[in-house]
Amino acid sequence: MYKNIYGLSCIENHVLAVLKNRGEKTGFLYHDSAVPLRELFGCMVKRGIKQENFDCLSRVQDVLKKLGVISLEKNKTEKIEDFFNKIKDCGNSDYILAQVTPDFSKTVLYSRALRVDHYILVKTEGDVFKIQNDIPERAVTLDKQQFSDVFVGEYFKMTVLRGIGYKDVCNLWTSRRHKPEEQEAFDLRRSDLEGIEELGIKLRNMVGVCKILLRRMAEYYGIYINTDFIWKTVSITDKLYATLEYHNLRKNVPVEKYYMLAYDFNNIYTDILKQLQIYLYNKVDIRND
Amino acid sequence: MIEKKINDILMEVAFMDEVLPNADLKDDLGIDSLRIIELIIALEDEFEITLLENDLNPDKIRVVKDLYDLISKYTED
Repeated sequence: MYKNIYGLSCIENHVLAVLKNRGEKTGFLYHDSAVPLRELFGCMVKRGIKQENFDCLSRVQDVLKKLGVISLEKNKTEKIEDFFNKIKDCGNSDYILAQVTPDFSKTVLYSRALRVDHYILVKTEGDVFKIQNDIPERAVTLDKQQFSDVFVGEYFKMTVLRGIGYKDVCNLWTSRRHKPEEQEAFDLRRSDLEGIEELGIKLRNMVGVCKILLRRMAEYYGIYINTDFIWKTVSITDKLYATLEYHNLRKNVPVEKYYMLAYDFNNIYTDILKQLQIYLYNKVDIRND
Repeated sequence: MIEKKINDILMEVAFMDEVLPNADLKDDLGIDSLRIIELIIALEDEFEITLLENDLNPDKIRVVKDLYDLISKYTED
């Protein structure tokens, strides 16, 4: 259910998976994925903002709410029986995302969520709760008492109001904040990395976000042009991310090493955006009317 | 012997009682890309080896057997 879903949070993963499962082309929702590396670097490395808080992109659920495709409201409940009945009464277009304890997320779901507030998709079947985790994809069945022990009491109710239509597709294209066809290369210098605390962790976090963004770019622009050139770089980026994490865990890595890795990554990312510019300039013809 | 040691570390990391050679690290054992690197560090320490940067490739470490092959490369002369 979560294969080829590229959310930046558990909520995004669930929302995207639900829509994809309903036959929606979720690739359109990755419309704003070409975030310039200059902006990501400034946000995540210079200012040290983590993935869960960074604001270079609108959240998928917010985009969908704005379009009127879904409604998503946060609620609280204290009685497990009420919550059980609430889920039982859900219609075909309703979905419940419940927050579970960090301990349950880690030890039962094996989730390594970045945020403390981890959400799972939950349904009822007979007298039990059926839980679905996003990453790793894992299904767990709990009785009411077991669920009560791991449920924090907060949940989102998501309702799919309609499908993604042609007008939405055009709106998404025109509302892109980050347009690869208008971007300039980022000239990363060694001096940019000097004096940054926990540099390796911040660079890893940035490349971690880029891993997702590259897949999103490949999906979204792949609707309009051939994006094999992006897919080919995905494994290189994954390897670079692993190398950064390795050096972080081993510690005592000179700035020079991090600079080399960041420099390599900047070249890969810049090259992708350049190629996107060329392909898009020649091939895309989509209008908002 | 190598396989047993790797299995022991994997069982500890993944909170499992048993691991099979074809078990998928991510889907079956819940070991994501960051934890794979933690695992590699643990294996390096256990076997007193240092992997080449080129071998830190999550794409090539998907199932338990990939770890047996990788570590064997460094421990068998």
